[in-house]
Amino acid sequence: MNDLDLAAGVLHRGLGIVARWPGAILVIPSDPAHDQEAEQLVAGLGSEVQANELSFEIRSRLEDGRLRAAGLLLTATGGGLGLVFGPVEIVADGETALSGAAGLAEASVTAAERLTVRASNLKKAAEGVSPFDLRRGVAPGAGITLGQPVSVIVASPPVAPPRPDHRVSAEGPPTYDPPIEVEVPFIAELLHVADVPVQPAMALPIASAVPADAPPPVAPPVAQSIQSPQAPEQPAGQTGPVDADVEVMVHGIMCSRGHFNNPLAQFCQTCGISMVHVTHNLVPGPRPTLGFVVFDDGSTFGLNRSYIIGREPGETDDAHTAPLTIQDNNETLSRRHAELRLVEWTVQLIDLGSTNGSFIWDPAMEHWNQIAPQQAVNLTPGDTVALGRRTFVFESVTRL
Amino acid sequence: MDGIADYEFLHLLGEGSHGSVWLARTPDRLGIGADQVTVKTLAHNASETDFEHLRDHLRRYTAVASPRLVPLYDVGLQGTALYYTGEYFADGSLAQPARPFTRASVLAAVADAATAAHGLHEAGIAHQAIKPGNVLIDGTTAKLGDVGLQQVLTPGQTITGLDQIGAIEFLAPELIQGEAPSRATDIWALGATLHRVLTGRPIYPNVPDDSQLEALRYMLSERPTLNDALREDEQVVVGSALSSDPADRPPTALEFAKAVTELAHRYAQAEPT
Repeated sequence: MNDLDLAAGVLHRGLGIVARWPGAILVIPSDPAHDQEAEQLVAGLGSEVQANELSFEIRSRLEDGRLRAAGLLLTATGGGLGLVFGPVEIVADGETALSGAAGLAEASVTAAERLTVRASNLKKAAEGVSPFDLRRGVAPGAGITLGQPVSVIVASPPVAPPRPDHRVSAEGPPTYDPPIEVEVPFIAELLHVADVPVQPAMALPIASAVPADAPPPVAPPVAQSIQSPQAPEQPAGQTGPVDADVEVMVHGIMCSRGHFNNPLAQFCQTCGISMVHVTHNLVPGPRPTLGFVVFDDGSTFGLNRSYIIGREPGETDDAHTAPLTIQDNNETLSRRHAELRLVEWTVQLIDLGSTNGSFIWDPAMEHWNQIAPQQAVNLTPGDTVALGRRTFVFESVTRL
Repeated sequence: MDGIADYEFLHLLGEGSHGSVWLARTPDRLGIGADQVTVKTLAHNASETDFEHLRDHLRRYTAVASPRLVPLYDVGLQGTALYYTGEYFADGSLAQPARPFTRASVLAAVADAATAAHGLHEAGIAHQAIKPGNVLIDGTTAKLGDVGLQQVLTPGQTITGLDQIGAIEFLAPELIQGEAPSRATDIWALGATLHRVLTGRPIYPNVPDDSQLEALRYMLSERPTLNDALREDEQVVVGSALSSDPADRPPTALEFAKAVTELAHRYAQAEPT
């Protein structure tokens, strides 16, 4: 292979940073706790680098932990000097030439056709080669392949009669090192075939009116007003066709029409009737929604459950808590940034040790108060909260 | 984008807060007669788990054998992009009709959509996204577009973004207060849809349009205002679907459909054809 600096540089899709200068390639895989530092590092390096200085800089940052992983290739004709640490590898003509998985590795690498520097910890679904050719500069990506220009085509589907549950090109591991024509794999399943088993359906309950002159029931009638008494309960453990919310029992008071309320409510949350003359006997009942949060882009989430908020919050192991993925193009949000936790009748904000912190706006002092990590802070209706550069307002539906 | 999976895109049909809708050439693999299909791509950093959720969700929808539901063909994941495909409607939707409709045919279309919603309800599915843009016109009948996806991708989300402020009228107030989607919330959406397509006006004419928070506060404290352009018998049907108390709305979408069909028949008799 001739001068690597003149070769096409095909970007691999994924999180992370790929930088290319004359004489050097740098790939930094994504690591939420260090992404910002990595971005600042690459931005600070500028448009020209000196190979020895760059190598020293990367090495010292890896040693003191400011960088958790990196792949550096100082390019020369037909190959170069590679330095890898962490989940990064250098692949020459399809063979792994250098891997940082076991620790810092440094060696000369040569390739006849293609040389790849890439993150080696990608999920299958996330990998793939982009149609973008990076010649110089910085781009988001999980790796880069230097070599001949490649054309990206789509896997050709079989012409055979469709089968349910059939995966197009699910076999054959996708390759990082693009051959001349790269297959971008996809999964497809047909929906309009009759023999796909579907869970037996159960009709939605029909709303039944509670007679207006009925005496106030002893038990909270919230469930009755939505579900007719005959309607069978959703079997436990079944993922219902409708998002079956898990009820949390709390103590509250009943309005004169029998709606269950926050003990502090002055007016019924459901019907608006005054609660002033209601005897404040606490009774157990399913907690109604505590309000909603409205993000700066207008997206709105109901507080009928707790949320883990972040860029990639992942799954939660608690039926009362849902992951809430918030887009953040500036990556100021951590993967799991903060939690909105419902406790009895209050909404708490907990910073989950985020990189950029969580803040509550203090309108009197006109500044943002940062909250301590891992400590629950009660939110007051109307509070504005900042997570990274994203903000939301908490709004209650309790009428105080 | 030129395409996704083995779909070749012909042109962009629309863009929303969740992704884009494309007209595409039908791959042979689908085994259907139509040359063109609609492809919805979801702007979402999707995983295989998301794909499986979406697939299971759409399968429950397609298992409902209603001729008034938009047929779906295929669901897939390429890289981190989800897509699914369905029938293409050259005549457009009630929000963007490709040709003018008489009042009787608009009423008939809403009745068709309500019948489709009823089929979903009987199968245990609340649609959650009924609005004029989701009532698709197919010659002389209408079909109801696919079910709301936001609950699949982001559970708990009631509204998707600022571009949706106009859409809050289709959201039953009790949804904001945390009630689960139900027959009654879909019937509200059908009532608001009928009001919109008959009058061209929203049911909250004075809703603040610059702040989602203000719009939600407004909606929680105000009742809908029915436009004068509604005839008296239409006001009764729309008004009952928009009752504050879910129990005061028609008990099923089928009953709503019957009432709207009756209105349509009255017009069909009155209008010259």
